[in-house]
Amino acid sequence: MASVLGQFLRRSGTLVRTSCTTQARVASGLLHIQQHSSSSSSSSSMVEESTTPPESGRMSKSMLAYQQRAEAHDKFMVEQVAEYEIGRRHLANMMGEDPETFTQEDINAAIQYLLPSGLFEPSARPSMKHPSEVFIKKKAAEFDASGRPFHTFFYTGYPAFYEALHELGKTMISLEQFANKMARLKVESETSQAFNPGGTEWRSKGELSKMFLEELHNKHYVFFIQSMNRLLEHPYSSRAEDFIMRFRKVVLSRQSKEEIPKLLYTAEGVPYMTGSGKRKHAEATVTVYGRGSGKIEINEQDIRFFELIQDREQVVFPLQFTNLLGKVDLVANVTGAGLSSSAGAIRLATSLALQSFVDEHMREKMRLAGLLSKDFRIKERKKPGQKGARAKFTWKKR
Amino acid sequence: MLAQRLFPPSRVLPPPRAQAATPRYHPYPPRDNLRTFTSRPQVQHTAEQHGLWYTLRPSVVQQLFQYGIPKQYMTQCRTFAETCLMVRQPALTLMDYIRRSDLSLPPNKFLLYGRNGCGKTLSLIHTTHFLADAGWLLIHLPWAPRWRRNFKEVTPSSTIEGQYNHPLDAVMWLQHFKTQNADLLKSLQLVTQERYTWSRREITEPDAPLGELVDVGISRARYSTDCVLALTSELKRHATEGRCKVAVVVDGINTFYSPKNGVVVGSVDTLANEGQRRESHLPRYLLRKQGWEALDPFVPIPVEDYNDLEMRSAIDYYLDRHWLQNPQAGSDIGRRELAALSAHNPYLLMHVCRPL
Repeated sequence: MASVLGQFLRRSGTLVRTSCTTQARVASGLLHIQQHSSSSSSSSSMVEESTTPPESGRMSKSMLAYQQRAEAHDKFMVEQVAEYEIGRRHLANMMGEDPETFTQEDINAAIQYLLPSGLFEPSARPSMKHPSEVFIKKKAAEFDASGRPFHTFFYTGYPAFYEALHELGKTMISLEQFANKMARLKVESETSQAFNPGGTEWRSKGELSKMFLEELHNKHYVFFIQSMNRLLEHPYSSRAEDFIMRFRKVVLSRQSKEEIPKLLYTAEGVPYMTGSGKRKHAEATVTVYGRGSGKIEINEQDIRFFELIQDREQVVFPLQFTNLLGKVDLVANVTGAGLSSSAGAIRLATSLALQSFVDEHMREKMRLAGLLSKDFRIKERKKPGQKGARAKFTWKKR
Repeated sequence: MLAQRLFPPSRVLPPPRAQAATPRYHPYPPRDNLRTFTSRPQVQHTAEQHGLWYTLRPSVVQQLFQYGIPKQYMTQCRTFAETCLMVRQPALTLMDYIRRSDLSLPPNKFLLYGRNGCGKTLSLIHTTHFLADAGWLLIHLPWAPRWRRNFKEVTPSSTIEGQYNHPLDAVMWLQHFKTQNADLLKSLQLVTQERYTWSRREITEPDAPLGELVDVGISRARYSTDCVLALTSELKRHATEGRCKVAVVVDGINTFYSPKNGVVVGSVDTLANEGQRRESHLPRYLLRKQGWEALDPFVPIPVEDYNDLEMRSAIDYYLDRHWLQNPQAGSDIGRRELAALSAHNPYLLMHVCRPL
């Protein structure tokens, strides 16, 4: 027994020294007894443990091959990490910073400074990341020397995924039992005990795949989300919050980050705000004066500057939406060709200026109405070999 | 009693519904004093009536305004089955001035000016109705540029050297004059004071009623232009001698003073109105030097866009006629939107309200 153990330790000595997590496996004749960590844990489990060789003293060929591969990969990773570290320290020295406290953000900033790129796609620009982020994680050994898989669900092909589903089912059952108990004891809570999904959303299919280290199909993902939604609908689902939050990510609202400028005041004490907006090639600067009577001035003309009623409605819409029509004055200056685009530019500028006049709730409504977003549509480029952007030349059959 | 107990009514009928005074789908019903039922501007239109709508009787419309009312407004009137005008400040001012003017002095000249669609022509129509009501003889040119630009026929004049005639237009105008003033001519019994020789066989003797002169012009297109000239000179003479009051109403007088054309018809006095066709709507610019000298001095009367009271009244009128079908039209926010979109302009308001 001890000799076998010693053999094992010697063989797996190198593995132990590496960054892999290992588990002691009871070396006994009972090969059925297994303990394994669930591979849905987020730590990078590179290697499950290497099994005890069967009594014959030989490992299976696949296991051997796997071991070799794992060793090579580990060695490779160690080298990469060492290189990364050296590079990081060099970079810190180059930038004149302290190498000890040089974080990944500092690295990103330094690379952006030293190697500026005009490329559009962020992932195409030069970057220096930790090797664990660069190299794809692989799954640990899924079967032992005799070929018996560790995970109960190995033969489904997606063990981690189905394990999550089973856990979901168990959670559901426990919640039901709890609900029954509460009903029997006639305990009713006033506040809702359901999980509040506000501010979070489900992880995408890619993120889940990365988490499980399994390539999920669309049907898997759809089924998973539907099942999780059913869990959310349970009145006591807040008790399963930890389980649910493993599969949800927090969504930040962008607007809460932006600051709304405060109202300015003229010499007479009239509040005003300026906003500027663009649409296609038109640029507009609009000043909205509070305590007004509904006057609209565009390039020193009436609203009759716009002949079409559609353009006039565009100008008037932000005021009407915020119910400030007839209560504020508008002075707009617009340049650039095109009446319709001028109207759109004025609309955006007005909305941005009106932000300072209205409260939080109305601002959110304006954002949802699309008043605060720039219309990015521009004229599409004409392509060679075609008559226009999309139109093709006349097609002649012969 | 027994029957009622044994066989009670199976269904209790609801009480009869009271008639709603105003249409229920408008959250802000039009104000009660939307209209004024005074149809006689001479007597009854004062500053109190400002902003209210008064109805022109169909007989009046046919008599006076076969040609005067703009086409689009006429279409609207036909849709609403009535001819209504809003009582507005320019017309009130004009009527006030006319009432107070001293008729022994040379005639006052008034000029209505303003931007497109503000209501110059309709103010003029209101004033014309007032004049007719007050017993003035009308020499009414409904739209002067018609004679300059859209004339039907041009012939060189046989009587006056270097002058060109518009015979058919003259005939039309004489007919218009006849419909407008027939009753008045008869009651005043004005007669010609000269002898007019049209041809060897057609002669109008002196002391013939003016109506006959008009008929000659209508029946004989060849002499219609000369007839017009004769008529106007006769009327001028009568007016000077104090037998009648003559009002000359021209819509678009500045057309006569544009560079391509000189003065077409002799004197145009008293009331005049300006049609705008260029950048500035101000009289000096539109009349040019010639017209300014001819018409100066005159009283300019500006015609402006709707103010709040008039805007409210106009929207109330459309609601009353059930023209505005959108339930939000009569609400506060709806009114403000209409005001903003039409820039308080009456004509633009009509356009904006069309699809509503």
